[in-house]
Amino acid sequence: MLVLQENHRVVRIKSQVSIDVVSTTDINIVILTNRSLGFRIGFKVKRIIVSALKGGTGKTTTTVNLGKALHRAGHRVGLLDVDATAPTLYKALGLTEAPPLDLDSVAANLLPFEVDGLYALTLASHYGEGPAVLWDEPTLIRAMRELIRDVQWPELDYLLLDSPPSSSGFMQALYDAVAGDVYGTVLVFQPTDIATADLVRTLDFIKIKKLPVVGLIANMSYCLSPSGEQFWPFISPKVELGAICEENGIALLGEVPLTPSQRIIDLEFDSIISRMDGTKPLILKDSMLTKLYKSIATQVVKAAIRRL
Amino acid sequence: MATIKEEKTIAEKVFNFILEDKHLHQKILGELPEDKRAAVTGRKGRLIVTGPQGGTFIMRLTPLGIFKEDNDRDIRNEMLMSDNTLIAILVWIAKLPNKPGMSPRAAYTNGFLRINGKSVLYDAEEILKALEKHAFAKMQPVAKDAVKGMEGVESAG
Repeated sequence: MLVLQENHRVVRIKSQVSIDVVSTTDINIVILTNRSLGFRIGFKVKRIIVSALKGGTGKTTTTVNLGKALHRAGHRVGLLDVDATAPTLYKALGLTEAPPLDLDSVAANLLPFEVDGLYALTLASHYGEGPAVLWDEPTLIRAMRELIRDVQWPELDYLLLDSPPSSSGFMQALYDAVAGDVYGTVLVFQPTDIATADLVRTLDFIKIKKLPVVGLIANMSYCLSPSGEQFWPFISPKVELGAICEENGIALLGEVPLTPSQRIIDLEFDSIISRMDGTKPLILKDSMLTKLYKSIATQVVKAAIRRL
Repeated sequence: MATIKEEKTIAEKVFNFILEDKHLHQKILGELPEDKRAAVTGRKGRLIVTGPQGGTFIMRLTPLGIFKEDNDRDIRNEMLMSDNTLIAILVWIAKLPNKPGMSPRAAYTNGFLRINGKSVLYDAEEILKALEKHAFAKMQPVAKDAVKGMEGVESAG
């Protein structure tokens, strides 16, 4: 650990730190950068975990769309695919194959690739196309820790972590590795009774891991046809996630439609990042989960009644 | 009178082949950036192949090439697989008709080939890249020789 006195403030820096010294005739300017964490001191990266324990809610596409919106807004964005067993973030970025994994052989770090101004890293680059990942849990846990510690990001404003639908040991290791250095989690759920059933479980996991919640994105909230017609595309009834969020003090960041139009999606995500800016991440408490559970149950019943 | 030691297992044949071409080792080392060359020179690795066609081998990277070692202190990396996996990889390298075999990266991802080191991802990627870039094309004759006459060896485990 390195301890610095900077403007009468003690700055403690863990992990790998590089020191650049710029000499002038009279003074030495010391610039400290922690490259593996992707920030320069004073310009700290906001790490956001895109999360849902339920599979198929659209976490990966949401991560990419959020990243693109933040990039459009002028931010420097990194995307880290932390799905250790089925990494597909590169597909959502429009790539047919994961680029080969680049290494910084001197610093022994992994290097992200760049697509349309976004920096990204996925384990698909390491695994190769096709083979199933059959690693034991301790190896996956070590790999997760290295993904947080050993990637040499350029300077970033945001690092978005696309997490898999899992509360297994390796995901816990990942959450533990970033704990204390996360801006918050963005939840992605469909407004169906099946998906919302896992919302409490996801929030319980996030509460145990002591991560703040930025808000919830209701993904696939409605279907928007090319002619502009809106309709509900699922057999199961629509649950009002907006009402659940309002009753429980969770920010509803946006309602994203199912649509073939990327322009409509982009507009929605531009609104989502504006709402994120004005939202203070929420720390969950036990009592909130009990209330949330009741809210969800009420809304699921209401949805069922509406359908009758 | 000098005696000629007979190569007993497929793993031994492969290991001896890896040690053989010192010029190639020096050429590869020469292509590395200076600081990287300094970092890898002296590094020791162990190859463990289990099963009747296996064996345990220690090698060391020196400025003159890769050499066999007996001392197992300060080993940085270890590759561990069964002889069936080694054979599946050799079948893949040999490019035999109707026998796909298994690429080392696929064997690694499937968990049949373990690469241990200081770092799981960086060290494994570095070793796989080195094998893919430098070893496989050269190994095709020895792979063909090693799997000659074998039938039905396609799956690892």
